[in-house]
Amino acid sequence: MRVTDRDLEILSNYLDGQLDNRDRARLETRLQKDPDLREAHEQLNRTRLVLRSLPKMRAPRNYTLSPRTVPARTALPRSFPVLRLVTALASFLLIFTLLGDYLVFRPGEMVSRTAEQALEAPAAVMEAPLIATQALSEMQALEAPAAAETESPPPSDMLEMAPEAPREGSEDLEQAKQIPSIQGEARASVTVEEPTSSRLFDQGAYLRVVEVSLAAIAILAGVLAVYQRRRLRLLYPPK
Amino acid sequence: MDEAGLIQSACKGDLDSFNRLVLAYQDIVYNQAYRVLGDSPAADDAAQEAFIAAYQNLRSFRGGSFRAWLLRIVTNTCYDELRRRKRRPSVPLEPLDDAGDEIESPHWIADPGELPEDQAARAELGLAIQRCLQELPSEFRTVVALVDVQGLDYGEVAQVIGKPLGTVKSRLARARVRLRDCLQGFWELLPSAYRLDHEAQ
Repeated sequence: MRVTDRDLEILSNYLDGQLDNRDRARLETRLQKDPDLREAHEQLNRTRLVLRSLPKMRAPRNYTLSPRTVPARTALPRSFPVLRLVTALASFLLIFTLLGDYLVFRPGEMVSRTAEQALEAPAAVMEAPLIATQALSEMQALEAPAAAETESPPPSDMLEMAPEAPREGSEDLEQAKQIPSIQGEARASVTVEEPTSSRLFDQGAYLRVVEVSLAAIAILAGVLAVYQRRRLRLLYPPK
Repeated sequence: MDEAGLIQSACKGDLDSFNRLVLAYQDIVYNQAYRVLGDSPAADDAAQEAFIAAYQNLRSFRGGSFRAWLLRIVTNTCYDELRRRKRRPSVPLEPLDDAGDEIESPHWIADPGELPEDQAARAELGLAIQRCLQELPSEFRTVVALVDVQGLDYGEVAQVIGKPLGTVKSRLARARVRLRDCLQGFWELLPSAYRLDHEAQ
């Protein structure tokens, strides 16, 4: 029977006593029946014995260390890992802030947003008088038939419609009354937009301060850490 | 002082305590470096580097087998050296005799207690085994050297190479099979104790 790689691994484990009782018993039964497996077992065992017979080599010299070969130099200051951590954290936060800054306050977007705000405000002011004149003309058009109605009695079907006319007219009147308030809103929207953009500007300025601070911390801590390491190497150059 | 006490003292900077540990383990460390690298000067350097690294990183030792921890360091040092060799290959200098021919059995392998013919056979066999070991991939060589040359158990080997027990078993089996195939031509050099029954007859 052909000896597989799995058989060879089992044989290797068997030689080192790494098989449990059940697997060992099964392998021993197979070894009695299978001459190829037996041959493989003998060869592996011989290889193992030969390797184990290799003479233990003695170290050609002592490897004991002296204060000169291994001084206390390797001990970097305790602040070194802290500085390294601070540098890494500050750099990470800086990158994170810059990314956020770029995504929220994109320069192109800022310009277009302020331009849109500038355009929207006068348009709202311009639209307000237009709405007002339109409403007034509609009101006048409605008032004329109403006057005619008072002079001559209306037909019966017109009488049914009559109550609706003044109602429409009153809606227009209400609309007309709202005109000053629309104008007011337009103005208000202009006055409201201004603080928003200035708030964005404030946030941007705040972010700049944070970014500069983080960059300063990262550079300072990094330089200090590098200095500590280089100083150590200058004092105790590696062999 | 016991090993744990020596390690503790060495951690506090007591070099004498560490040197006592060095003396106890230097043969094992050198042997492993020699079996993995295959030449004495490189093994010597690797052993020294390993002890320096061990002293410098002694605080990272978290208990368990100190021997396995040291062997892990020297194994990694050897891997670094093998990687360096791969990047910058060089021709090894074999010892030469007076006529300028290579000496296949250098004197440092000889055992003065043996008969000359036994010495020669043993030296030849030793060289053959080392050559076959060198032909193995480094991770197989490390495992077979740890188990069959150093005599570590599977658990310790798993600790040294940082791999699960199953990996140790499979690498060892494959290494042994490859060594068996490689050593086919050298069985006549074996002492009779190692010969198979039908070969002895």
